Parts: sequence; C-alpha cells; structure tokens
Amino acid sequence: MKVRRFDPDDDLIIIKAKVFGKHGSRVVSLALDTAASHTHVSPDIVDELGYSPVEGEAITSVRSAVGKEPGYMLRVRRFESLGFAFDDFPIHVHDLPAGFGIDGLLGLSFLKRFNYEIRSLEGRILVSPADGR
Amino acid sequence: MSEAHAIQVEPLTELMTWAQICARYPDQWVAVVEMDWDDEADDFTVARVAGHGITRRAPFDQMRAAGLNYEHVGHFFTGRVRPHAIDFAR
Repeated sequence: MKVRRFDPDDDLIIIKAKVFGKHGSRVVSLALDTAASHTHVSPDIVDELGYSPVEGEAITSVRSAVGKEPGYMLRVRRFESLGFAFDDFPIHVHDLPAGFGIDGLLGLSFLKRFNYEIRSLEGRILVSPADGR
Repeated sequence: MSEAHAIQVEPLTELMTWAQICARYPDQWVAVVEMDWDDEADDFTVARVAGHGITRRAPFDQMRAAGLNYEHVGHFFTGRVRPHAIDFAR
C-alpha cells in the first residue's frame, strides 16, 4: 500500500503527477477528481514535452463554465502519480484558465486501477494496487 | 517589440524550499529544476526556479529565452488553487 499526503486545508485534493514525453518529464499538480471520468492535462504541458495534436487519437470536448472546450485524447509515454506508473497512458488534453492553479485533473481513468481511501481530515490517501500489495 | 524581446531573462536561482519560492514569486506559475525529490513526501525539498510568470506558459518561455534546457522540470502555481471554476470534464 502506498500513502500520499495532501494539504487538508486546501479546497481541493492536489496531487503531484509526472508526465513523460520526448523532451523528458514534467511534474505537475493535478486535482484529484472522482467525478471526472478521464485524466486531463493542460496543452501547455504536453506541448513542452514534444507532443503535437496530430498525435492525438481522437478529438474530444468537455463542458466548462464558458461552454464546450475542444481538445484531444493522447497517449503519453509514461504517467506517474500516487506512487504508481503506467506506460502509454491515455490523457485528455484541454485548455484550462491560468487562474485555476492546477495543470489538470486526476480522474477515474487513473484512479479506477486501484482501491483507495481518502482520509480528508488527516490529509492522506491510502492506495492499494489491484493485486492488493 | 517582438515576443522574444519582451521576455525577461533571469538567472537560475539558488536552491529554495517551496515556502521560499512562494514568498518570492507570489501567485505565479514557476518552472523548477534540479529538484531534490523526497519519495516519501512525493514532493521536492529544494529546487531552483528557472522561470516564472502569471501565465501557465510563461515559465517555459523564460527558460527557452535563457537557454535553459532541462529534461525534468516541475511546473507549479504558488498561489491558492481556486476550486469554483473546476466545473468541467463530466
């Protein structure tokens, strides 16, 4: 079991994640969101890593406060968070206003691979992989 | 003035803690390099700021303008995250 800490005083559960591409890796802050079906990353990050929209596997869109945001689905070389890593991990690339203060959302496409327990008062997440180790 | 001229180039900072970075660059996006990573905490203990600015892309633009090329870069916001706008991706 892995244990990761977050700041219980924050308004969101902010988790670090590492995204890999041709140009290395970028460590970013994502909001853990169990209501998001996918994992989202800002295009500023994927552009920096050397990806291009032409590598996208599908055009996607999400609803936002200002309407429908166009974007695309992309498989990144490697994605790490909560102490676990996956190769060829699918993310959705959509723009986020700078004022959000995060680079995306850690959604169920990542979280559903584990059992996890969010202990909000303690600021801890306990994560167990599928095999329970 | 071209965009390249508009980007202010700053030297790499000394090693700083996250608290020190937030105090020096309040409510900004920062690119940090040479992170001393603590696996237990899943966070860095100290790092150098290679770029900063008010837009998400500004720190990377500043790094490029300064000729800084690091394979592993952290990208974080020093202010408080505002949850009210996170209303999408359902």
